Amino acid sequence: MTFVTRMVRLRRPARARLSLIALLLVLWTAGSAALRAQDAQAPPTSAAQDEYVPIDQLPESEKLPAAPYLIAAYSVAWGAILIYVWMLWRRLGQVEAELREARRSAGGR
Amino acid sequence: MLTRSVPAILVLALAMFGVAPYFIAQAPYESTMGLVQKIFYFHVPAAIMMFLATFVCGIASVAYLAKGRAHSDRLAEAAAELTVLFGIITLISGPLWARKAWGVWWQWDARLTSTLVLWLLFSAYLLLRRFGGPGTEKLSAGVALFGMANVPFIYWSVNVWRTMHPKTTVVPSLVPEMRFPFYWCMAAFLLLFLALIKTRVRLAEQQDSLDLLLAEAEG
Repeated sequence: MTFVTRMVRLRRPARARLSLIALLLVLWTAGSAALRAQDAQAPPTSAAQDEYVPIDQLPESEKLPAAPYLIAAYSVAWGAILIYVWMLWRRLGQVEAELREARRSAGGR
Repeated sequence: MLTRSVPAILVLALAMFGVAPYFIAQAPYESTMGLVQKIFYFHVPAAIMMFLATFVCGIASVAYLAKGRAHSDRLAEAAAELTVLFGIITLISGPLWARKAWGVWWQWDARLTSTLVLWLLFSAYLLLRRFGGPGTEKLSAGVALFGMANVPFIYWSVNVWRTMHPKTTVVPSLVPEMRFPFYWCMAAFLLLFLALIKTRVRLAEQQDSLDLLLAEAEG
């Protein structure tokens, strides 16, 4: 007699009880597997979950570094000045060259 | 050709800028802001040069409106360009300092907002001069007057309104170790200002001579 025929021959309450046990077994297996997988995948965290402990000083690694802001500010200042000086010299050189050319043309006529 | 004084002033200014990081590095750290406070040594001189350029532009504009001399107009245009240049340095170095010191890039308080408005006014001035066509000199002079009127408001804003920006009492109260690099940078910025404004006025003069020559040739 196969398992199926034996199940069919069982009375309805017994069948329901067995189905419930089977369902619980499947859920427990799946749940424990999921929990194991979750434990394996969860990144190690240092964030406090049970209690918060105060400290007086922030660790150096947690502080916003000042040097990049300082370097960026000085770079912007130097960059803006040098670009403007270069542009001014270039414009002046062009206008003076055009002026010389125009004076030469005016003198030739 | 430029007079010999301008390249000499410019070279001296750039040499002073080259030495400035050494003096700034030697200056002590500020107790609450630490390293980032050293932006102060470029930020404040740039802001003062911005205000100086605004005043030069405003006074030259008044002179132009009163007497109509072309030299005043050229000086005003040159100074407006420098207001925008030093404004860029001020308005970029300030938020970089603020991000570390205050935790935010920008605050819409009286000092920062009015400085931005001043920079926008002079950007508008330059756009007007560039694209406004002939006859915009007087209109631009009016814009420059509005800009100049804004400067005292910006200066005293930190003392009058609630703001996170340091007050005007900071500079007079500097300790000698901080005072020296600050005034060194101030001198460097002032020399740069003089060299740039003389060069820019010279450029405007040459441009006017060229325009006159071309107009004569055409007509």
